[in-house]
Amino acid sequence: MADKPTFSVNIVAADRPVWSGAAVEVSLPASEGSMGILADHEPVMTATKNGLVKVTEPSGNKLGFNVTDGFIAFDENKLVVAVETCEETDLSATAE
Amino acid sequence: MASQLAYKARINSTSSLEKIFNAQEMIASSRIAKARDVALAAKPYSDAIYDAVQALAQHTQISHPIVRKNEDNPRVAVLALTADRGMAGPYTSSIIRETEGLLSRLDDQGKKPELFVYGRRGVTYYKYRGRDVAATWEGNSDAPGVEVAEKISDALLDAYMKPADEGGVSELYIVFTEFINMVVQKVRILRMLPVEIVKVEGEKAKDPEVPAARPLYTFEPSRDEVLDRVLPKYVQSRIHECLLTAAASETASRQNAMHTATDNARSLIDELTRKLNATRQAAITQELTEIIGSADALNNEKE
Repeated sequence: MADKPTFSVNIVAADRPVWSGAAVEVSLPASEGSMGILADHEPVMTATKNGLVKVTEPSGNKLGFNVTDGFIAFDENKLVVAVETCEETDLSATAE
Repeated sequence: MASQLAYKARINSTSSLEKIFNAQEMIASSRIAKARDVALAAKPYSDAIYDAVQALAQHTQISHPIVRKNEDNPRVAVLALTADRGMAGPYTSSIIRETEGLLSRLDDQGKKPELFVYGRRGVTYYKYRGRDVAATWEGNSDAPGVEVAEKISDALLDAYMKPADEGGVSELYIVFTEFINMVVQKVRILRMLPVEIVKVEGEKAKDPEVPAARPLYTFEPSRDEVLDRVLPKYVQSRIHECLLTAAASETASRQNAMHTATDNARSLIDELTRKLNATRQAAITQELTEIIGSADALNNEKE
């Protein structure tokens, strides 16, 4: 886990910054279906639907965020998730 | 004696007014920190959107209606952000003055401005004068949420996206108060639509500090669809930003006004108390003179 390359993630809702930090993987509800992002992904900008954003931290810890419509931009190993509203959810209930 | 009573009554009423002003001032100063925090908390989102719009603009010659000016439509929209409540000094009146100035300038340019008003004070002002107002919003002007920004930007985007023959507008101006610091707030006019991307890019291109190449994004599902999503959000977040800075200005302006009012009430009370004391002293002196005078007269009679 620790050897995997990381990238920085910044999740912002319309009224507040929600979460930022390093991650090894992020999965997103993109408009054309779910999308996974790893470090060194090509620069991409895409619209997102309502759904769950899953962030895997370098420690292996997983975080979940319920988001409503927005968009993401990824370049130079920086991911920006800008959404209307965002709530952190407990993943352990759904992940198992 | 009657005038003593009158003074006492005036002192009483002034001191209860002073209490109200003082309370208002304290409420405003406790809210201002919050208003500032809210404005700061919303900044990362609008920055993210701004970066995205700039990246999109870098990419390609956009022909989206939001950035293309529809020259042959004389109708333009003007949104004025005023306060819901008074007691904020010149806050609403300077917005209205600036709006009137903008309206007459636009009239001179041969444009037909349509007025949109946010805030109860502005709405009543224009209703009382029987002005045509296209749409109004009220409530929460000192703590505007995302919902208000959404309602306003939806209505304005709707007016903007409509074709000219259905009553659409070709430009959108916002008159709002910028929060510079606790003492200084400045009324500003901002042209929000069409979005001026090209101009910003031109300035940036001249600046050697800014790296010329932004990453070449892949767009999903397509460039236009991403644009369709991002640009309305850009407008909404800009409107939200304006609302928040206007709210901070309103609170600061109210605090200043209430501070002055409290000071005035205090000096008025001092002055009235001095006058009351003088009247009371005059009355006592007069009584003494009368008593001494009559006592003297009695003494004189005896002798």
